[in-house]
Amino acid sequence: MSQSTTDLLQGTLDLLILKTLSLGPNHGWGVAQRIQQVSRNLLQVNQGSLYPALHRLEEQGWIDSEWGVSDNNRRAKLYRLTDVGREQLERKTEVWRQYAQAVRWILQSA
Amino acid sequence: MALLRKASRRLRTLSHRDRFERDLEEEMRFHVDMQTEKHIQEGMTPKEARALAERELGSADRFKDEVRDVRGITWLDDLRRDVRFGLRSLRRSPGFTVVALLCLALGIGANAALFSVLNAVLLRPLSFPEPERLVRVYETWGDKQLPGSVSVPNYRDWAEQSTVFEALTAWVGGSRNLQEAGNAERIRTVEATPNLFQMLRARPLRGRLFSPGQDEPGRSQVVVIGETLWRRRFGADPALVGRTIQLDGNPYLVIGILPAELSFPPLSREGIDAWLLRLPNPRIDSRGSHFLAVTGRLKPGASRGQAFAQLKQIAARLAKTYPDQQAGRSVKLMGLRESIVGETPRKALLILLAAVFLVLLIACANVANLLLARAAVRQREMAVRLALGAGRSRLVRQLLVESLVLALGGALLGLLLARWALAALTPLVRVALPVSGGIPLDGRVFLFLLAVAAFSGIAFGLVPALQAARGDVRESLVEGGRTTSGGRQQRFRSGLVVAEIALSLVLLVGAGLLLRGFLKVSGTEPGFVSRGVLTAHVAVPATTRPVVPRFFRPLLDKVRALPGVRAAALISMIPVQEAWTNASYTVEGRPEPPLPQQPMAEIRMASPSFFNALGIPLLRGRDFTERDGEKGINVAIVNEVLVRQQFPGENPLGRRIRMGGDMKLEIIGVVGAVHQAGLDQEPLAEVYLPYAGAEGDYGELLTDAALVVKTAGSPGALAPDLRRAVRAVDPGVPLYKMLTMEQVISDSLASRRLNLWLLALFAGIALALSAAGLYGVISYLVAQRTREIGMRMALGAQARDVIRLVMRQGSRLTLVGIAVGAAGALALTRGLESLLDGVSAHDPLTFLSIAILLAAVALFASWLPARRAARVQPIVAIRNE
Repeated sequence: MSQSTTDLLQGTLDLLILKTLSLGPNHGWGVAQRIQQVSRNLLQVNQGSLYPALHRLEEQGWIDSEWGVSDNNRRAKLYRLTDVGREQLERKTEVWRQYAQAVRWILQSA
Repeated sequence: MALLRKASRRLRTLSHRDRFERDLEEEMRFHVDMQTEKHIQEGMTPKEARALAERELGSADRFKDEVRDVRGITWLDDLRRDVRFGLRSLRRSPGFTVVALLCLALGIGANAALFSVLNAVLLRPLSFPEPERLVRVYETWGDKQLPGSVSVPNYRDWAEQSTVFEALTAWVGGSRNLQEAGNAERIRTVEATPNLFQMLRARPLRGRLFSPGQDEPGRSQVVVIGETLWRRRFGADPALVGRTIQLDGNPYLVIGILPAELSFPPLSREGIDAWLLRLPNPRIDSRGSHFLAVTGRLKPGASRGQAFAQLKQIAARLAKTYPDQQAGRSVKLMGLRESIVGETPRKALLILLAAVFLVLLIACANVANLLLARAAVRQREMAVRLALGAGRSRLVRQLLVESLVLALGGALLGLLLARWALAALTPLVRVALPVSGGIPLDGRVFLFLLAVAAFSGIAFGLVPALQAARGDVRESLVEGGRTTSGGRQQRFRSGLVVAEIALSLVLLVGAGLLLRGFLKVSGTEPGFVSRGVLTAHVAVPATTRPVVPRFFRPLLDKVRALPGVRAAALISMIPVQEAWTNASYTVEGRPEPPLPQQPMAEIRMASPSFFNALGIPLLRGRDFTERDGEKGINVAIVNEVLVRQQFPGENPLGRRIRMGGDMKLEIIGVVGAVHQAGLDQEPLAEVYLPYAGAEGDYGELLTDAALVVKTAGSPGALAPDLRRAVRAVDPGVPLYKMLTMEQVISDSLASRRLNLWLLALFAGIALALSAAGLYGVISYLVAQRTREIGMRMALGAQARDVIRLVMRQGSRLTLVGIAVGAAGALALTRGLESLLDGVSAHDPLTFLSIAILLAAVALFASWLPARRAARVQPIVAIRNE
């Protein structure tokens, strides 16, 4: 919980969740840990908004869920990317890339 | 697909609400456990670790709510709570609830009932596949290019030369005697070209239908039987298919049974019993004789416009090739349903729908008024809830939900009312409008009902809800329990009552105008005396020849000998019941105009004493005798219309007219005119031929003849005797469509009567509702002013003064309502014009008498609370405050 962690931009959380799940099914806690690890602790997921986001994505049909068993043999709700979700991930990734590129250009132009 | 999946997932979530909550709980626990473990590994004590993990997750309740929101559960929960709240609050004020429900049930029920009728006649699709591609084709004629029937050669040319139809069929309605097990009955038939069922794409219930190539007219005598006749007469015997039955004494092979819903023509009132192949008839299959109905199925992709253009071209070509018969004739296309329902009933139904919608508006205004009165009482409740932090929008929503609950309740009651009303209406509707089968409350009606309920809920609930939620918290609470309502609200409520009175006036004027039209038509002198006359049709098989000496004369002798019979006669068509069998004629000794310009006259075949039986005056000359026509028809009796047209100022007796080519008829008598085609139609020129000539060319007129019997007593009582008389002469001849002449006239007015009844009913409901509304508002005002009235009385005002004071308010509202309504009615009743039979849509007498009626009812409605006010005890009134 260091001060240097960056708050997530609105809408980015969805993209990160989709990306994380594209590596394989995972439970909510796992998704949060993974985002933190891969971003080298730069990004901290607000756990209070993680679950609503997961449920929203499921509601949209981009991810699926079922009850499975976690690594430590506990019953856990596992989320998985759907085909629709995979398409969405690709599209959102592309949008994000263009966006980041544009921001970089503007910042470098001065 | 995605949408479907989403919907099913949401439904799953909502239906397994408990499991959803358990899962969410478990998911959270798992998360906290994992996080705790992680913190322990980072070096915290288990207690610290768990506390931190829980803090990190944040307020569990808050985000569980968020998840529920995402899942659409919150919304549903709120709704459920609002519905429960609404039900509770409605239960708390049963008086209000009952009155509001009654208003709504009347308004919505009337709408549902009328819409069901409209649905059965205009909306329910015909049962044939792709019915929108079925069209009726007419030949048009005369100056007005009226749509009419088609001649056989014209039909053939259309069928051969057009390319837009998948199939084009010609048919003609008729009837036959079905002789079965020694019992004869008249059945209704359609004779058609072999491609009829192909064109309809109908499938048989059993056996097969006509197939062109296999079943050709003249080669095989085959018949398709309707399901209804099959069940009624043959006990649904499957072995009927393949059997031979006797129709008019000829054997026909039954090849199949047609399901009732595929009966053709559809929406037929009496229903068709059997379908036959039409045989060529050289005598009438000429280009000049028009009697066929033509129906076709458009090819996929062919539009009605294309079909019309092509047929018009063909017709133009025919007009050029056969100028004598075809000059001035063209074609007209119409959808099959439109061609059956016709313009007038469609218009009438739409007008009635508009009228019944006004009734609904009045009902809504009433309920809105009640709600406003209640809102004044509930002001404190609302203020408290606002003060306790309820959002205004939440409050509005809650009140709206309450209104919708009320509206749905009203709709349910209305549905019961509608069912009951339909049961009562159906017989009336079936005589007046083309409907086959019953009038169902089907899915479309339910959807309509829901829409109407939702509309009314919002219509009467929105303003009261907004007003209630706008209330000033501080003021209401400070003023304590006093119920006050601002001047603005009072004005709004008065406005509602004015609107109700105005709408009622519009409806009442509409009903009044219809009544005037109805009285005008039903008061028309038909040209005959219907009292004491019984009519019945007899159909004599073609094998009974010569038909007059072998059947009709002995029958008439028997009937005349029956007790109470004053006169008995035979006629080929009963006036008012049937008309439009006509022929062109020329007057001997005058230049003969070409066929299309020759005058036309209705043509009837009558026995002696027909005019006597119906009381038609013999103006000149003599009646037929039994000898007239025996050696070929050479005499005729004409009506005064023909005389006026052809022999003005001359003596027509002894003059001759030529008809049907070579028939020369000497005029031996002149009779009064009857309204053959209905009381609303002017009498037509008419020629009567003696029935003894039935063996000649015009004998066909008598294949479906009618007995007309004048009795001294009640005509209905004669029915069994009449049946016995017919059976005694020939048991194989059916007697059917037995009606008193008064019934014949009454049936001819059925659709007018239906329109009048319905509109009068709606206007009556409207009047009652708005009177109740006025009563409510005035009562409320009186309650508000009790203290003031008490003061006045204490200061010496008389009961009379108080009554005048209160009634002044009521009469002001009434007068404004009547003024507004009269203006509205002047603008709106023009739409009724086509249903009024010539009565002016602005008939001053109707307007005036309706205004007086409405004013009287309204004054009575405000007199009741005024009287109550006058009985106020001054002391009690003042102390109560």
